[in-house]
Amino acid sequence: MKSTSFKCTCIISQHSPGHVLACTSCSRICSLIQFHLFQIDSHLKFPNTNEINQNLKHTIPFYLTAEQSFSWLIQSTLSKCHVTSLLLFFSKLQTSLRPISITSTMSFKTAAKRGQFDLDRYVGNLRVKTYKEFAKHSRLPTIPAPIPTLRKDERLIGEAPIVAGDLAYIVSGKHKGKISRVLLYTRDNDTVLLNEVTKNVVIPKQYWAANQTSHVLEYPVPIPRKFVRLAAKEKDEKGNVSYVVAEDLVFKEKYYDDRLKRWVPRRFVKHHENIEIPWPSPMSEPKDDQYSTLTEDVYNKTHELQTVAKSPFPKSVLNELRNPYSKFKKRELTEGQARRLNAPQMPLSVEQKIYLAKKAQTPVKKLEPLSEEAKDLIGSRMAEHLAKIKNPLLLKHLEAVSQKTTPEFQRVLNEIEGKQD
Amino acid sequence: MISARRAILVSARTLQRTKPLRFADPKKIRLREPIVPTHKNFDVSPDHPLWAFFRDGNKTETVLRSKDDLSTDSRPWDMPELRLKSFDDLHRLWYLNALERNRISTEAEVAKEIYNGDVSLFTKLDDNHLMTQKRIKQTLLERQVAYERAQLSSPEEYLQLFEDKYINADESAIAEYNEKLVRLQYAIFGIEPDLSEYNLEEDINVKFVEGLSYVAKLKLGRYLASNPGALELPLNGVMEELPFLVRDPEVAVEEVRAMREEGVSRKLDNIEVFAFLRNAIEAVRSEPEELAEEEN
Repeated sequence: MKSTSFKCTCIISQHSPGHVLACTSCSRICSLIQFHLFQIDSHLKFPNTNEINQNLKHTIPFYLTAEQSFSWLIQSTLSKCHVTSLLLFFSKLQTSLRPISITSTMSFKTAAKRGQFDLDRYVGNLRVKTYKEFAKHSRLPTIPAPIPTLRKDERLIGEAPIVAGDLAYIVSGKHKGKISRVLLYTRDNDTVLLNEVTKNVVIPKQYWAANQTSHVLEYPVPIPRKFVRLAAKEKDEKGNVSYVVAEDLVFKEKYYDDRLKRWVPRRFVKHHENIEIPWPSPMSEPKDDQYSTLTEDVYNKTHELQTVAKSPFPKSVLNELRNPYSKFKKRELTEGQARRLNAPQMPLSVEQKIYLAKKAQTPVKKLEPLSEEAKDLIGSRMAEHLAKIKNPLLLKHLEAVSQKTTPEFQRVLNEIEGKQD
Repeated sequence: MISARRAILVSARTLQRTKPLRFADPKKIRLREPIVPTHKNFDVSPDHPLWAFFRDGNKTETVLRSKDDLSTDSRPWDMPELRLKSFDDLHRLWYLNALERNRISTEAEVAKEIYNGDVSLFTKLDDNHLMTQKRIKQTLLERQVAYERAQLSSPEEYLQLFEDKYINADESAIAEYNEKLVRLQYAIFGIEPDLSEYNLEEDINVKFVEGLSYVAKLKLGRYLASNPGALELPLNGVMEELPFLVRDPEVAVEEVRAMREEGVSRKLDNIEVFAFLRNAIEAVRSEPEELAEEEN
């Protein structure tokens, strides 16, 4: 059994011998199926499955695609009874006849999220308890307990008011009044690690860092941001050092910071907006490595607009940028969408149906213009009434009122005359 | 794909033996040494294209880098940086990112086994590349939007201004104005400065025809200002306009006159225009070659 007899040759990682990384002839990566085949010689036979199981101890894992391994099996000089016993064997191996990873068609990022424990499903105290329970397994018992992460909607959005390299003034707890350098600000749980708030922890030798020389290590303790305030050092002309502590901050116009290589807002002490607290320089400069792009390559300008008459790229690229088949560009609504847009009609009760039937029988009231007779009657009645009135002010008032027409009155009149609004 | 069980059954039927089987003596059977499962047992061609999916090509010893080698402080390309790059560069960058993402994905697949399912480091790296890819798309889209907006604005006012200046320019300044005209006709009408650069299928379009009549009007206008009455106006469509684009005005005027005398000059129908231009430009292109052949 030489490797050349295989149609499919595979590269197997040294780190994990059970893992196929790429099949170099069938061009499939990570989509091979793992088989535990046993060693078969042309003159070897297995009378029963028990013997196969014993032979399984000598199994050699081979990595072939399903089709290839089967065709190889059949092509090798196997007798009928071999095939029968093989069938039995494979039926026993049903469970191990599975793809190496279910993630083969899925991005590893999606796969990492699948079936994982999701802390965001827990709220309040339960969340804290669950987090601590889980955190226990991922750290040494001597290391200070981490603070539970915040839910996504509770996390700080926008510019962080305190960053690594800033000075922080502690307002509460054992270290109250201390001013210390911030080592790290974590948005996930809104905590800071301070230079001078540490705990001595014992680290077993197997977990020692590269340059560690002692079992005892100073380990920074996480502090929630609400217990610290941003501080800034000030030096006057005489060299006296004083500190400014900001209860709160305001962010103002953005500028390009050359040290941070990005646009950042200026920050000022709230209510004392003449005091600006500059952003600290980054604690460590990013180092160039073999993957970095050279600065001159990045800033080498290769695009210049010279004509407005020609498309900036080949026509076929546009469909990649603006998906013509996007579901948001469909002109017609699907049935489901239409149903969601239109409220359903409520079914009528028996009483409602009876009422509507009765209403349908009664003729619709039609407005007619007043007859001359009726007008005369109304006129005479009004004249009678006005004749009784002595008070000239009241008469004046009635006169003024009679000049006014309400919109409702006008609408009825229009309806009578058959006018459209 | 044929199901596994069926494959075996079908093949078993075809392999059925006619003679009864005879087996060797079981006592004589010896088990062979197990073959160690290592990549050294497989021969892979060193120039196999799939080696591109490994970081060090066919010299790759391991797909998984050590944690120190991961460039965790790297960042994606910024929009201002990408805006400097031509379409070809962006296209290349896109595929480099795709390739790197593929490598990271392979790495993560191994890392999952070794780091107990924790692939967060690789997720961060992959996010950077994904962000670069998204920004490349955004950069191209910006260019497309700018191009579409440019189609809406009309350059007529500017063209009129340039025409006046060109016709009334001094003899000393005309060389500079001709250079300007070459840039302008490319900028507004997409007329390439060199005949050999034309893509006859795509570049001959409505804009080109508009540009052609503008250029002809300009050059003839200037020629007529110094030689009044040299040619009867107006020009008769693209047939008479094209000489002004490809030749000097004096030669062009002569050519048009000759055409009129022969009676071949006529106003083309719209449907004939592009075909005529393609043929004519192709003919003008091959002129120097013919001349060279004649000389030989």
